Amino acid sequence: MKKKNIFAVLMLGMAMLSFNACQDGDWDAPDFANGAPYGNNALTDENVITIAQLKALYPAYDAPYSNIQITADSKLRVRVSGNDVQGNLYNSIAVQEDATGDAAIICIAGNDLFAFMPVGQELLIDLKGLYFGCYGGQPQIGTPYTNAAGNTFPSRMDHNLWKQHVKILGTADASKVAVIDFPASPSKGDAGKLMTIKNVTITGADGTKTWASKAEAGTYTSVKQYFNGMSKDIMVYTSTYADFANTPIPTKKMDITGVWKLYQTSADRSPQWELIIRDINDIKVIDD
Amino acid sequence: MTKKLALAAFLFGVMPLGFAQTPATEKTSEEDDALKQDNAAFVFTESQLGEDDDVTQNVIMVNSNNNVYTSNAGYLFSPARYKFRAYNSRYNDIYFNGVQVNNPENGQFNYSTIGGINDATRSIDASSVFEANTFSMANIAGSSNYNFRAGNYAAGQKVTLSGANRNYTARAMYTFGTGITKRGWAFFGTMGYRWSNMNTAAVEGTFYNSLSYFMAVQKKWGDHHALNLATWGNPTERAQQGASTDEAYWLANDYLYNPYWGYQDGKKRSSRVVNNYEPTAMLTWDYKINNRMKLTTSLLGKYVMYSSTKLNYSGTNPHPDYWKNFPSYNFNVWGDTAPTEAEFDAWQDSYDYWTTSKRNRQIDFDQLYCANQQLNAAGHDAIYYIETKHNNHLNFSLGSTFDYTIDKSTKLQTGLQVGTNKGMHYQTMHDLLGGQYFHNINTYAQGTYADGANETYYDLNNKYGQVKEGDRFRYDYNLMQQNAKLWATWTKDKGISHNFVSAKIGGSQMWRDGRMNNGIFANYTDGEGKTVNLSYGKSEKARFLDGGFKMGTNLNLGRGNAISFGAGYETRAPFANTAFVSPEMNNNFVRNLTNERIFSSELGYALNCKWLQMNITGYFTHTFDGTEWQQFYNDNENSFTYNSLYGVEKYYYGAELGMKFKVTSNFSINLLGSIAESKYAKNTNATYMLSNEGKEKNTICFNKGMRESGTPLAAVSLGLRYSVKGWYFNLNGNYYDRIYLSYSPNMRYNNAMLDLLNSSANADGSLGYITTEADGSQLAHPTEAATTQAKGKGGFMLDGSIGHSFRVAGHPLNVNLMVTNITNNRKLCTGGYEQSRSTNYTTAEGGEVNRTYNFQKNPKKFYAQGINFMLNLNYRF
Repeated sequence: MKKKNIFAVLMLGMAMLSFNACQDGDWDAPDFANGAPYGNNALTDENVITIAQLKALYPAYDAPYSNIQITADSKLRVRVSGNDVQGNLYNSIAVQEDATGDAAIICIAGNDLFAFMPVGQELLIDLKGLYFGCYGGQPQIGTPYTNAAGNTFPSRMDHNLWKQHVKILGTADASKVAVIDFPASPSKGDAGKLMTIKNVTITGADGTKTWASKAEAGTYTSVKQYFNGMSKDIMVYTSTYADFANTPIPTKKMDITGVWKLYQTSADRSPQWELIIRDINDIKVIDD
Repeated sequence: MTKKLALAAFLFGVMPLGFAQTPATEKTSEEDDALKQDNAAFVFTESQLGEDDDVTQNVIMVNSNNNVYTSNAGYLFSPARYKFRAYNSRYNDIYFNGVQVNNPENGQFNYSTIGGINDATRSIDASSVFEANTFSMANIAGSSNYNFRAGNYAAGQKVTLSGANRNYTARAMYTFGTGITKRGWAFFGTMGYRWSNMNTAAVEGTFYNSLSYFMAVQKKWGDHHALNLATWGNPTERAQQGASTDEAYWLANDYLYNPYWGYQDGKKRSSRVVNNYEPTAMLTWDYKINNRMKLTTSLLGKYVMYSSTKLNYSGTNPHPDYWKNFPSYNFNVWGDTAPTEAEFDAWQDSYDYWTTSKRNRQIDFDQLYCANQQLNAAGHDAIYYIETKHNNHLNFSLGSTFDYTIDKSTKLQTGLQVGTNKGMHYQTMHDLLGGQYFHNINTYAQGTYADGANETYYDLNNKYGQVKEGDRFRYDYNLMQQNAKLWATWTKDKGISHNFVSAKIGGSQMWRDGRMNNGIFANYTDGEGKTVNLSYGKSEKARFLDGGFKMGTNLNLGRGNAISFGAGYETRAPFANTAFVSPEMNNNFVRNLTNERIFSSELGYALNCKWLQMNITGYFTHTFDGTEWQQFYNDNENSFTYNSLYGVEKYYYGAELGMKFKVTSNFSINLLGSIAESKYAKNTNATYMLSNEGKEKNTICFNKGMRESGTPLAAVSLGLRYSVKGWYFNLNGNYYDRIYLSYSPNMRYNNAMLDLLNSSANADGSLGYITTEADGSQLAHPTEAATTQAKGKGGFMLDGSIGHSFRVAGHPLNVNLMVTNITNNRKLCTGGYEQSRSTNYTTAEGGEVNRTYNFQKNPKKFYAQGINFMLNLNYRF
């Protein structure tokens, strides 16, 4: 073979080799036919209990601060009612039972919980090994944390640990999440439920005041906004990290939906109720 | 022989200056040169090559015709990412046929653009800082001019095949040259291919896929004129390795652990893929005016296409080595307090998760798809996506040099460099990972401004447009630069002295042309109260006049002894990549933007005799008014942050020793040693801007004493070279130490120092004190202990090679095996960086944040590859 031919053949060969070898090409979406890649698909619905049964199994939970490891082989079947879609519920989701409407807060370290657990998503939660208790009277599930005041309570669990304890069931259906009306006399049993408070205005709303400015929060990372004509034990509680934190509060009457959380640091103090807005769409201006 | 060995030992220990033998010039052997050249590009790992536009480049292949240390150190110390005198590679100028090819935006040269065409890059005219050359006033880290003329290459063909367990696994190259024909034509071409995939590359989750080509044709007309046209390029696709913490390396039980890849549907996928192609063409006219005058002019044009992908998110950081994923997130493993049972359980759970399966410590792409698909169903934007950063350039450069031999002892070289560069910087959506929706929204600003406010949009000109795969988003701007430079070097031999004087003068201008109308800066109130658009359209032009001079002398003291001295002072215009506060968002130049001033000096002694070549060199360089820039996610501020340091002042000084002791005609011993210092001379003024509000803030950075990172500041090498009957053997023992990691400026800003000095760690005041200034602000006065820079572990590495030349069918077949890190030292740190997050800090509003995870104890590092090899076969015919 002449030199020119060798040259041509080698050049062609190398060029073909190169152009055939693109290694980061188009990727097809994974196939999730065998279950979501999030969570533990091996969980089965044996030993499913209700939130009421969980409370009955561990009655010591009922204290401003409590922390009990769940040792029984038990599971909850619940539906997501609130998440961190706009950063206001932080490191947690709210869940409710379809049948009873009973609710709890699940504490998980993660900022993308809404992506895997949208509102309406049904979950099977393996409780064994996790902790159940209260933070300020609000029932929560998580792993233990002791704060500076020495109170130990279930707080955000490692996200990978959570994935071992949860199974995604079907697809999300937000219409199945029950919303209660503002109760005339709030009770502990309502803690954590999704609630709508109607025909309200916020104290000091002037068209410029926002839900949670850093200036108003000061050294804190959240701001309490109170309702005109109501007790200061009832409030809208908003994080300065919420996407809508610097959105002006409407001056007109509103229906506001949110997760209705209890905060009572001791039995001799009056309970405070915090309405946690999930996203800006939870605010409906009704007075045109 | 015994006497020579004893003398060599004495020389190594005592550094004699007084004795000498008959002078004898002994250049590095062609065999050694060939070995270096052939393998230089292969020895470096991907990160060593400095191929990435978005990270500090760190390789300098400086060379010298006269200095044993300078001509060998770059190659020998390359496995430890050695930087010559710890200089940034922007101080190393590269020329092709006399035209400068450093990236005009950052001053650096990307050696990977000439990777795989080794046979085309063998002819180099190199000079160190105080050596005169024919093509420039040498930069402080040296200058090199590659000869790309077709007639320069020998006639014949060559095939090279290589196998290795490094960043690529296989290489093939073919070279063809005609030499100069009787009709005055010459053709030279070479083509190479380098390859590895995810399963064969040394670092798991990386691959290398690169075709290289070089072609040149030259025509000579008589003895006076020649035209050469050369074109080259190397389209390359490769996956990157990421640095990680010691905790991650421990959990993975792998010092080459790479957090940048993961599994998708059971297949390995990298989140960081670089595509780079820089097709270049150069026309060179050589005009030999007469026997004493020569004019060389080259016009070069190139179009750079550089892109790198990155997994981004607006949810939880999906990288496996995110700090909240580590076991040490659960309790302070550095503290004195024992963990509670719950803390230990959490630590154990996390440890078990990391160590149970490799899948758990890599990116889970399936989950990212799942998340985005769920979000699709709810009408939300995707929160996980792979973006591509593009740094493209269109560049034209002209270089012309005039070489005039005035008489046999006097020469004058002068030249002109003119260039224009358009840098095109933008980001595109590479893969929505199963998502369907994405909007060009500044999520950092969402909490700062009202829902839907203009300030939350990256481009008001396309406010509501959906971003689809391939679309531009977040930023899009051009950086324009034009520059011209005149230089001249005059050399004169007089008596025992060889002297030179060089000078240069240049002018440059730069501006930004914004192509997105960033909402934060669309109606910006400037310092004079005027409302201006700071983002869209052209900025003002910044113009600079720079220049400088240097001189050097070499005194031949006779009997092989020589001393040399050089000194210089120059100013250099700032580079566009550091000239803007936040080029991704607006047109603002860094405040007090001015020329960098550089004083450099060097004193050397050389001994050159029949059996010994030795150089001892001391150097001192002082730079003033430098500008540095970096960007990163600032966790304390919950915002992306752009940081500029201006008025940077640094010292570089040290000593180098190079000895080549020829014991017999076929056995030599080399000793190289370097001790270098490279550090900030004073604390530096800083400006930073948060992308969530767009306001520039000024502070001071307590970076005095911070060292240049990613290079050993102390290195020693002892090498043995032996050849017999066509075989040759090299063995080098190298020791590296004083390896610093890249410091984090914002961890040394005044606010961060105030947090530290107010913390319990400073209970005894050993970290410094705080004063209140006249304006009521607080100023930190940290001690050195408060600003200690993170270091990596040095160590010993043994490298060897063996080669032989056979004859097959009447032609030479060269076989060479190189084995690096024979002792398999995997604990040698080659670089890394401190994390830019605070463990404990006070928010702007006065809130205190105290974290369990200790960022300052967990810098991210790279480690040297363990024992590795390359086998080369080349056949000439």
